[in-house]
Amino acid sequence: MGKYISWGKYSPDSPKLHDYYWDDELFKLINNTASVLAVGNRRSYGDVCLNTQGTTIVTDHYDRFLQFDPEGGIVECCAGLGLDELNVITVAAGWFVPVTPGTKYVTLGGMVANDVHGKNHHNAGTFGNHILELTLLRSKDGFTTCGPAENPELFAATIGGMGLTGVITRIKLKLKKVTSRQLYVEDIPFSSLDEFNRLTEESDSQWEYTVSWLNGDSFTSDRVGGVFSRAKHVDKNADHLLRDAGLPLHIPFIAPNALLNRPVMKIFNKLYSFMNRQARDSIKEYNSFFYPLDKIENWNILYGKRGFFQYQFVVPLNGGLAVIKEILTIAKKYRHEPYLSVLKTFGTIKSIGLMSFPQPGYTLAMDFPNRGKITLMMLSDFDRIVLAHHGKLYPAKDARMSADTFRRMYPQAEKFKEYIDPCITSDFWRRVNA
Amino acid sequence: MRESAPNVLVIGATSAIAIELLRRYAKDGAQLYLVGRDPVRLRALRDDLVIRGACNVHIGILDIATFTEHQAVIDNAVVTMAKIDITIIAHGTLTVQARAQTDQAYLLREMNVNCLGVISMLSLLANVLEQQKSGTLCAISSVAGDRGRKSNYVYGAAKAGVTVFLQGLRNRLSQSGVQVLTVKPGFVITPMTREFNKTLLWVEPSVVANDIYQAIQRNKDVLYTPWFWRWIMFIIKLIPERIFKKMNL
Repeated sequence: MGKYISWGKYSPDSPKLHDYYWDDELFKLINNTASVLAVGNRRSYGDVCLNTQGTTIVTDHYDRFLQFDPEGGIVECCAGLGLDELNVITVAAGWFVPVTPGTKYVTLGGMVANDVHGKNHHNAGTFGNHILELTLLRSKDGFTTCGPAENPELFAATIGGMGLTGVITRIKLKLKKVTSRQLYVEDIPFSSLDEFNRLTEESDSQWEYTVSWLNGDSFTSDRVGGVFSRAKHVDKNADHLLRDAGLPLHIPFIAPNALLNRPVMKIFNKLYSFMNRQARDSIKEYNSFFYPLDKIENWNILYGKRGFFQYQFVVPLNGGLAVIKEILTIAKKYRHEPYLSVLKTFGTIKSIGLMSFPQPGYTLAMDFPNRGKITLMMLSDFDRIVLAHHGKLYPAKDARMSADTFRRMYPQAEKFKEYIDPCITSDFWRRVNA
Repeated sequence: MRESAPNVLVIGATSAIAIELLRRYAKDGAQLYLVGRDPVRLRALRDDLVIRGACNVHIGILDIATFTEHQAVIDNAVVTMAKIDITIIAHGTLTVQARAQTDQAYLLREMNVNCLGVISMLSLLANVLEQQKSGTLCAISSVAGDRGRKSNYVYGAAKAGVTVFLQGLRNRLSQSGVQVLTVKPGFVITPMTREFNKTLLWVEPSVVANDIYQAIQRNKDVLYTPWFWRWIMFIIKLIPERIFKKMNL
């Protein structure tokens, strides 16, 4: 029986998985295994969360809270704890994760390993910026703690270290105070990237969260349209303000399996931009603002058995918009427009992680159905452009970049290797070191 | 129906199904009494349950095979919580059939834990609830106890003993207003079943825990979980022994 083995990848064989509940069980697993990788919910798109030639340890039952201080907003938990469960507990106490990715179905360990970013990167940096302490199980040293002051090099290598520096077991995190479970959201249509830029500049100092949806149907000549969303937590607890109707069209995925194709996406894009032809504001519950796609639990299956690629890159601000235009033009030429594209301007807060993806500039994430060779060819074309402009790709999303591309995008990988646990590896790591 | 959050006693608290069930009760703000063998695991579980909303979590250490200590553990729980609303017996081991056929000591040890250990607890707890004239007595049996098969009849026999014992208790305690719930899970993905090849019939412990939680609320007698096992076992029980004995099950 085949199934999705990571978020974008379908495989006829399922990997052999081991799970564990307790520290002593993990200890035994690590000591009896030569090539292992600990993985969370496998929401990474490519192969950073796979170890098909070795042993995969699933952490999703290692999901206990260890400590929570509802006054100080500090939480400590086991790495397999789901962000969805963390949110339920902390939001009730008036706290929220300082940085959240676009799905809540990730584990805290996965968030560390990929040093995730969110819609508030411009004022909060990445997830790693808010971690107080980590505990790892390393094959040689046993349980090892690290943090900004203790073992800072190991700490930096582990944040965004793709789980390679040891099995992440515990995470201590500083949360962010929120006064409501709701957000005030403005959606503003734009019809060019310059307009997008103006909206970003105008919004980034005032709005905690900003992100844009690009209309894949609008990639003609130099016109790139979309919808700019900005949001902030509602000031005081005002649940009666709730106006969020939860329209299904908030999710750019409504089509059943057989229908998720080019014509359907064109219609969808038209509809979505039509719905957003005028600026509008709304109050949204945090789940529908941060995790709209989670409403469809397995939206990845809409792409069928061949799966899909997500291509996410970052390029510096200077000349960045031209790069985006160039890439969108190439996609148009291939008649292979992305089904979903999300654009965001990263801020200047430096990531702690040695291998972290975010850097100041524009980041664009695009979903492409896997059409085999033609898709790979196009993405390699993208790589050349991104490289030429000092940009890089996000390993958590990648399933195909070459070893050479990786080396040039992440020259710090050489230094990173010093911190890798010799017992740990992944399909991604084997691939980019081939 | 209870007005406030219940007092819950769980024997075998660190088992996969028990953990999920305990989290469900923690969410309701219940007072919990965890009984298990390993103090380190129990303390870790307690910390987690408190953060998840449990109002009070107590720990009792017990090796289920030490029958002489059963009464003391129950007495402690009764004294600590004053009243026991729900008690769940969730401990168990999955017997390796082949080994049990050749290793008599192992066979008896397994029967001790999976059958006698459960029955002893049930019997002592039944007296408490009978006197209280309220509460729920729930034990996790198995579909394996519905019919003996060559692949797991040692485990099945232990569970069959539990099932019949519960039947009798239910009959006895119905006068006292005590619910007796027999839980018969099918295939559950737990550390106990790590080595098995999983098919579509396998479910996560959270699914089973959710079913148990609802069955307790709805005052059910027998729960097959997931639901389709009621029908699978119905058919399996219908097969005449003359044919069944030749089948490869």
